[in-house]
Amino acid sequence: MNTDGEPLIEARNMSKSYQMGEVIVHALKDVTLKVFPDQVTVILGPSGCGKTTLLNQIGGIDSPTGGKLLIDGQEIQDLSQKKLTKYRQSKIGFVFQFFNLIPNLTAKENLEFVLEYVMDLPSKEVSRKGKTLLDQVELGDRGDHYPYQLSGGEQQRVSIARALSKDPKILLADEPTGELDYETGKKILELLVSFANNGRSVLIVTHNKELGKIAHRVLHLKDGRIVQEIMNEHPLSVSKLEW
Amino acid sequence: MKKTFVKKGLREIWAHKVQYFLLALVIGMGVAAYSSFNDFARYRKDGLDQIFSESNFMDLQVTMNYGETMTTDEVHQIFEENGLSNEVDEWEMRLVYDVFLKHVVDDEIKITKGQVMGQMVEAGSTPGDTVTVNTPLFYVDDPEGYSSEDVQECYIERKFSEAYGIDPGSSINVNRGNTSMDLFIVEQVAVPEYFFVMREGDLAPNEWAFGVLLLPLDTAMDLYTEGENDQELVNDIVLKVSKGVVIEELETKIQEAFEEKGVAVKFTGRDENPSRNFLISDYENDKESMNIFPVIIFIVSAFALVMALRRMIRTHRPQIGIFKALGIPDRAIMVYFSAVGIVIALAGTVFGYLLSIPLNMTFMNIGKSMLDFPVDNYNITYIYYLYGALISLVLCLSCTLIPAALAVRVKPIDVIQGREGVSKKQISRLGEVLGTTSFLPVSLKLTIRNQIRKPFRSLSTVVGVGISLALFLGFMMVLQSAMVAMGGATSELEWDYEVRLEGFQSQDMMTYLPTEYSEIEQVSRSILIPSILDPEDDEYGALIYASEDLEDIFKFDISQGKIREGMIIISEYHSDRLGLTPGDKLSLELPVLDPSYGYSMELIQITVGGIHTNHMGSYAFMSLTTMQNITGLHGMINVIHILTEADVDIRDLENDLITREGVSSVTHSSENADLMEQYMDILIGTVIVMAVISSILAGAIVYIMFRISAREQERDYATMKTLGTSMRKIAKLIFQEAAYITVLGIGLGVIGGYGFSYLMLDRPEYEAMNIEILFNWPAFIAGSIMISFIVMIVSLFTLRYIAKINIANVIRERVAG
Repeated sequence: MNTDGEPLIEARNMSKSYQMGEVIVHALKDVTLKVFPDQVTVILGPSGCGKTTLLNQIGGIDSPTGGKLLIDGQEIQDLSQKKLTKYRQSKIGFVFQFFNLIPNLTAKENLEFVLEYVMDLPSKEVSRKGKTLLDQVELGDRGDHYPYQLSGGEQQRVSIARALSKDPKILLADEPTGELDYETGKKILELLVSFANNGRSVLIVTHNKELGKIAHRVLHLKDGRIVQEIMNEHPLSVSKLEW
Repeated sequence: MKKTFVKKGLREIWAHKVQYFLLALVIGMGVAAYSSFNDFARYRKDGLDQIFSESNFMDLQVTMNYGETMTTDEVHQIFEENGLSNEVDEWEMRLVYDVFLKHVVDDEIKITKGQVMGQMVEAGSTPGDTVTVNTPLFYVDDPEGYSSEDVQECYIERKFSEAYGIDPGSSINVNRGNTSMDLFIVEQVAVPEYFFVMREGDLAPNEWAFGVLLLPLDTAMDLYTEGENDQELVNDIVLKVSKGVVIEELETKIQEAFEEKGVAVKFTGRDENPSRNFLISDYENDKESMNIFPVIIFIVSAFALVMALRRMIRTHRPQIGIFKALGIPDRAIMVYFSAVGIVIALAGTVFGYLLSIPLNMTFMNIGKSMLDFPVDNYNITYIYYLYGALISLVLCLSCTLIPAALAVRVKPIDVIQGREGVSKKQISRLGEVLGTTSFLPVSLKLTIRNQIRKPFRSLSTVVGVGISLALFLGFMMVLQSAMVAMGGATSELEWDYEVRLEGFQSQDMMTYLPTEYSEIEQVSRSILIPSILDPEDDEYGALIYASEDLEDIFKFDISQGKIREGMIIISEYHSDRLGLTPGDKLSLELPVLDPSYGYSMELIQITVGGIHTNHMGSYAFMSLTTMQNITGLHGMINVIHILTEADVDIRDLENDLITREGVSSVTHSSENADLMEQYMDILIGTVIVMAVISSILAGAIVYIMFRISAREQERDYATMKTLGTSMRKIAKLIFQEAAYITVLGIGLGVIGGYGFSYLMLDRPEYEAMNIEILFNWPAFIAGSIMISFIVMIVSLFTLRYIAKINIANVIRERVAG
């Protein structure tokens, strides 16, 4: 585990507040953290503690209201919408709890949408890379199926393949096993963990404490603050994980 | 509980206020169209009833033939001796005769054919005071009466007066034979026989060609008898018959009574009066056509409403499941949806009432210019507005309750656990359909599949766009087709002047004309007789032109056969209806002259020589000699056609012709051009109104549907944005979808435009006219640009909506179904 070099994600006293009716909600308070390449980081905490809000700030789909957020050395808190889009396109891969596949496209086309329409790759490469990614998530024979024809686990694998298709530096997964059964969930975790190499990082948000065992770093969030940070020199292999 | 659901319904409306506002606006257009159109129809009907009632319009007109007159005492005597007075409630004797009215137009003297009606009115009174049948109506509350018996005064028919600016206070020169008289015009009046200036044989009202003057009987007699007779002479009687009297029997009695005194009479029944006939049939036809508009708008509203509410219900399905799981009865849940329906209906009704104000004002103006009657009855008929509100309520409730009833049928557990969706069979079929687009680039795939997966939504949007264009295009096509047909019909007339004669006269009567006028190239003699084709079976009216130089005075387009002596050329319209081809025998009714008994209507058998495709489908043609041989009218004609050189001084010739003895009317072919100009004015006004209505309709429907579409795909757009798809590329998807909808909508608009044109032209008065429905390219281009522009603007709004989507919130929502 490399913690000596430059962090891939660095938050300095980051906060996020928003107005809810007449009340101001402080979703994140003074969050400071560092995430290094090749690491799996798990963010734990009860519902409403700010886990997803933290993930959204890192993913660039929301902007902090205070402090600094540096991703790969670039400050992103003040980026314009256009630059944030570019940032999400080049650096971030998202895996959602409810998969969020485009229902009118097949599994393969969901990947091709990103490769062709977002990444602007030439059509030959789109086809080749799409196939490779599907094989990588063991769905080579299910590429022509629409999301509603796939199981939850299959949909989540497509979702991971889609996230990987952009070859991002950071993979963000929000409750990736929340909708899946135990065995399927484990397979998905294996896929996610395998991503954290070659300078890439994985951040997993979950309320399942057991998942912390597979992470290099575990952040405990409570009321928008990091209340505990645990470093794990030897994370547990996913195959040995039980919950 | 119900209150809570009503509040929820209201909150739903507030959350999507623009969409529901536009929905209510579209419904409001339907309510306004329904209420105002019906109110306008009622206004016209009431106006007609009122003028015929206030004028105590005759049941029967008795006219003495062949220029005969009788003294008033003689007529009284006939009525008394034959007991006719007992069968008649009221009657008026008049002296009615044709005159020439000399007036100034553009610094030139113009002579117009006119009619004088001498009525039994004393000095100091108006015809409105003492004339009991066909009482003239005044446009002022307190009209001036005749000042004295010695002063020559008259009342002038309003439309003629307005057409030439001959105002009360001025004088008009009236000529009969060699007698001329200047009459001081006291007031303008509406003459019951000419509420629209139409005479027998006229196809359309023409106030420029005929002026009517009302005078005291004494003054009328001065002109008629050149002051040589001091007895009161009359030649026309209008009467109201007593209740229970059979008109036909009364006619027979009157005919016998007058013939006994050596006077032949002819009758015109109440419903045979050309002006009254035209007014009533015009009203009935317009009423029928106008009903199409609200129906179309309500259909579009229903589509949009069902779509919007289906979307709302779909959003609320998990909630419905939860409510059901909590034991809340279906009825209570449906109250929620009903609340939405009722609010939209009420808002639509309010909009409808507001929109009906400018519509009513427009109609009021049209009514006043079109139906210039001295009655003012434009008041609101509340019942139509109430019906409009009821239609809106029923429409909204049914469009709400049907999807709601389907929604509450779902199993709560399926909804809560998100297990809803399409069946395996449906999945397989859908997969196959969607698979057909797999060869397309991914963005096009998305656009097309989005439409395939939501066919109802796509169809509604396309229908909305299509109907808007169809309304605009259809109306323009009808107008253009009618104009072209009229232009075509006009261009088929090669003659410059059509001179109609009074009855049948010697065919040599105007042969001298070319020697008098070097500008006249040809004088062609004709017989024009209205007839009935195949009277025993089908009864189709026809106007038969029999001319000695048929091919010189009409441009023919003969599709089958040719002009042959002893045969008739019928139109394609009659050929189709009667199933006749050249060589077939046709029976037709014609007056046949028997030197001993006079005219009698007889059934004649004639061979069809050819079929013409000229625009006037009611016209049939034959040679003059054929007609003369059939009818026995040897050497007789009733129409003369004149062909002139191009630069002839029209006014001189016209004035000369109209004043010749035995001439009934003179029509110059350029009068058709004036008529076309009037239609052009109507066209421009109509185009503006149709463009506004179509734009509002298209804008509202497209906005609602695009917003629904954007809301349904909110999650997909949020995901795309998360994946790093730029707004430029999302815009591409939106505009692609817009283009797809527009192209389909325009396609449907073209088909709808044709359908609408057929619907509008499928009316008895157009049937016999050979109107080819023409595609109006400028209207199509203008309409398509208008629709594309609206769709583009709405797409920009949609894009703004997508740009504002809170990605973080949307992507975490659980998908139901």
